[in-house]
Amino acid sequence: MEKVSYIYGNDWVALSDIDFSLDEGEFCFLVGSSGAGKSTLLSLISMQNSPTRGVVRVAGYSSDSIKRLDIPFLRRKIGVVFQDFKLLPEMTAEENISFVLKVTGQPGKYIKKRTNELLSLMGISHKRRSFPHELSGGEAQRVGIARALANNPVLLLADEPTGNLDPYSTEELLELLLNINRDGTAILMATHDTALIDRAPMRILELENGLLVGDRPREGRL
Amino acid sequence: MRIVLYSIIQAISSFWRRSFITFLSIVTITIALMILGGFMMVTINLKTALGNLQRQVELEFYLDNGLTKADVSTLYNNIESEEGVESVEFVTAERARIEFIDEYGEDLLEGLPINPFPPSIRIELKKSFSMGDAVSNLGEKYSDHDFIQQISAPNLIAYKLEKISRIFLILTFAWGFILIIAATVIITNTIRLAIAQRANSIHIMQLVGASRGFVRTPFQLEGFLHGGLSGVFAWLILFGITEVSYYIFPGIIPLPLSLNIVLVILGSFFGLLGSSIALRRYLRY
Repeated sequence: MEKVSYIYGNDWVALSDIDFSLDEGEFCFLVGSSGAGKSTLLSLISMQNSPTRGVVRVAGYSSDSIKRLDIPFLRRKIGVVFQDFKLLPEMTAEENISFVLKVTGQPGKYIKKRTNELLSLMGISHKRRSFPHELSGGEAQRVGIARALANNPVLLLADEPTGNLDPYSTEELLELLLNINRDGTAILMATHDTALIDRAPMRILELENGLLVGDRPREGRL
Repeated sequence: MRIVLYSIIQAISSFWRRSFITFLSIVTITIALMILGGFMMVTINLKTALGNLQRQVELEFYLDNGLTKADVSTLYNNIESEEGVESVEFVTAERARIEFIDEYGEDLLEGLPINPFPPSIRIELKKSFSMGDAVSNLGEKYSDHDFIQQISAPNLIAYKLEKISRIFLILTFAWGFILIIAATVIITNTIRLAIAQRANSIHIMQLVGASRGFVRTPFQLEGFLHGGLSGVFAWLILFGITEVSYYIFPGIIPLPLSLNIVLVILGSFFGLLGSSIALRRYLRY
């Protein structure tokens, strides 16, 4: 992100002069209180919004030159995990995962193989035919992560992914994300769960009232 | 090809997964199309009835027996050149007898030594022409003609009915126009409501990288199927209603096949249109 600002409406400055970069395979927490601008920052990276000023560069695309028709292609290179899971309610767990593979036009055999692989990796193979309303919070979030990983993204954005989970599920989810990171996927995870940050001493970007007030590097190895 | 197959599977599976909304949508569209089809049927029956009435509004000049061909020809040409006359037909005494037998049977004429029917000239009036004026003008002009025995005046009640029917037909067309617009609004809005319910899903699909076409096609196909199926249901229900109506109105004319197909096409078209309009609102990329 280069000198990025985002203003809602005419006068609400959600982000101001944000400047940072994320290395390949890096794990980084994005912290700050509610309203600090964490979700807005993530929405700029996934290009749900365009910055009012500055440029966002991600996976070979740049916010100042990307065409609307290219946005779906960018989204296939980054995975997004949401606090409220955002699973497609009319699709089963299996279909939610395979959907993002179908979108890219992958052959049927590959879709089936990759979906099974992800269901197994997330430990939810037995829930493959369950609809989102039939899943617990932890299970739903695992489906969300599996979906985000389906296209082998270079970057995984996680917006308060543990916000709706109990402590046990939170712990499990963190382990899962750390494993994914070890396999080479960069992760930017917005959270205000301090216990989680203490558990995994990674790089921390701190936002306050739309300003980047801290950039603490990773503290040694886990 | 893959997107088409995916869209078909999604559109069909959505019928079962969202059965209540699908049911409501199809019922609403079926009712709208049924009203439209019913209106078409009323119009067709009305037009036929009007045509029958117009045939009754026909002047017939009964001629003297023994006129020469030249006499008939002169009279024929004179009448043909009159204002408001559409066509003129000479009917021989023999043809009048045959027509009578065809309509009423031979029994009534049994025992008669001669053909009681005179030759005649039948005059059809122009439809656009003021029929009342044409009737009275021609009647007056030819009432004292040497070659004419008698003039059969048209049925004045039929004439009045014709006039009322004409007004009614104009009103029916106006009503039909309003109905088509209402059906369009109802069908497109029904589909729009069904899609609005899934605005969140559309948003999610786009967030995870689905292109515009990939999101849009299953919804459009679903709208198309809702409309088309409703058209088929409207067709079947109208067919049933027509069958039952035969007992009350034996002369009722059913909706022709071509118009039933039009109903199905209209339903599909409006379904597609409604889904396309609704999707424009929710598709951002």
